Amino acid sequence: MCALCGVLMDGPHWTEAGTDAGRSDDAPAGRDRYLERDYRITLINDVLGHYGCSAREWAGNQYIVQNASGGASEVVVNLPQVWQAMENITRKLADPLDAKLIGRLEARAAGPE
Amino acid sequence: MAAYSRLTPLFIVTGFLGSGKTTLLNRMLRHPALKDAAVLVNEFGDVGLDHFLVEKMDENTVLLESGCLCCTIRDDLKQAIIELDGKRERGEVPRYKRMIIETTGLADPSPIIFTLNSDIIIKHHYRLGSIITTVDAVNGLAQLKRHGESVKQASVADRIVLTKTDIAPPDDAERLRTKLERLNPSAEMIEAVDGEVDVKRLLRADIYDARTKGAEVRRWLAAEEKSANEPGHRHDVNRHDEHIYTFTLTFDAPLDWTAFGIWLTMLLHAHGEKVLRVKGILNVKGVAAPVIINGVQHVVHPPIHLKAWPDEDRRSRIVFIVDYIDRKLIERSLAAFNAAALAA
Repeated sequence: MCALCGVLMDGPHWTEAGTDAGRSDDAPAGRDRYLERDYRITLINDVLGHYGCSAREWAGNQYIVQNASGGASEVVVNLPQVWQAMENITRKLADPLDAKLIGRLEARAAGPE
Repeated sequence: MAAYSRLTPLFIVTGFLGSGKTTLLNRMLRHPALKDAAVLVNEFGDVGLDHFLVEKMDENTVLLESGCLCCTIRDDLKQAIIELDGKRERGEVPRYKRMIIETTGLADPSPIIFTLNSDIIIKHHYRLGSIITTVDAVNGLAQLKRHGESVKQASVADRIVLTKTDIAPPDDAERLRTKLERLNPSAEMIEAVDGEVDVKRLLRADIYDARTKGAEVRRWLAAEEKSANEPGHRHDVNRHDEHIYTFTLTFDAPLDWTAFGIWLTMLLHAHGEKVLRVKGILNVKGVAAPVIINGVQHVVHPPIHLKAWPDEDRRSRIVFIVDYIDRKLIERSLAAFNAAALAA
């Protein structure tokens, strides 16, 4: 895992440039930036909930990742840093190939029985 | 900052020891299209000194303490580009329009890509053009079997130049070509015959050039389609690296862009060293035209927007070149992240 891949990047991360990419000549218009951030946080929390933590928006361009118990927290600026912060706080590995995480997301997608 | 396609393109020339990389570089520099290119080399003896702008990099790698091997900063490379850029701005060197970077024969190209992506000055003035990898038809098969760097160099290539095909046994050359096509179906394969190569083909139509990206994507998709339809495609993995293999995930329904970003960043965070390449055309929910994604290990390049679909096929297709990761798990994982988003 690379702790630094998120740290060394500057400017909007490619995920936060929306579908405009931020640097493309002919990008289509993206979703409103703030709606996009809210939506992103909702989806991030679907994942972080599995690990007992959560994220919230801060200062318009950062995230606070926090333990569910309200204890340890970290301020980060992009998604790679969210995963690292989650690991720092929970001591668990952030891995989308974790079968239990996948099962949880599949169950969410299937909806209540 | 200038639009991405108007930044100075960087071409990385890589290839295993003895694969003809330096010969290729010298051939390229004789072409009129490159007379205004700056070149960064490892040794001054490598290229003809009569080329107008050649700088040598001093070996200086910074291995960041808590980083992983592919996230190494090549400080020598970074300083060389920044210095040249400064000289260009001040008019101390001619205004070069392209830059070519030569790697050493054993080079893992990932640190170079990471370095180019990590510095603010470089990112504001330069963009990736193409990665050109030479592979030697005489020794290439053995090198791919024995050397991980060789496989990596081929995995990240946008153009693969096959050298010494005139002296290699024809069967070997053909087997090598097939192996490379299966490893990296989107790379354009170009043959150097008697040391001569079509330099224009190497330089043209890179995926980040606004004028040519549509054509480049069409070419790449056609190559992948052809490769996927060959018999035994899924089962024929190369022997050294039976654990390094290539597959394409296809999705019929549009993908949620936000979920995709969450998923891919998490995947690369956890497994970036083993995800040698991710390259795909995405049908993004709510967006009429496709988005191209292109990543090498931990580095994902700025997504590219095409004006229109290259053909009638509207499926998302993502090629992965991975090392010891279960394809089915990747597929199930992405599908789950996407489905959960759609249900949100």
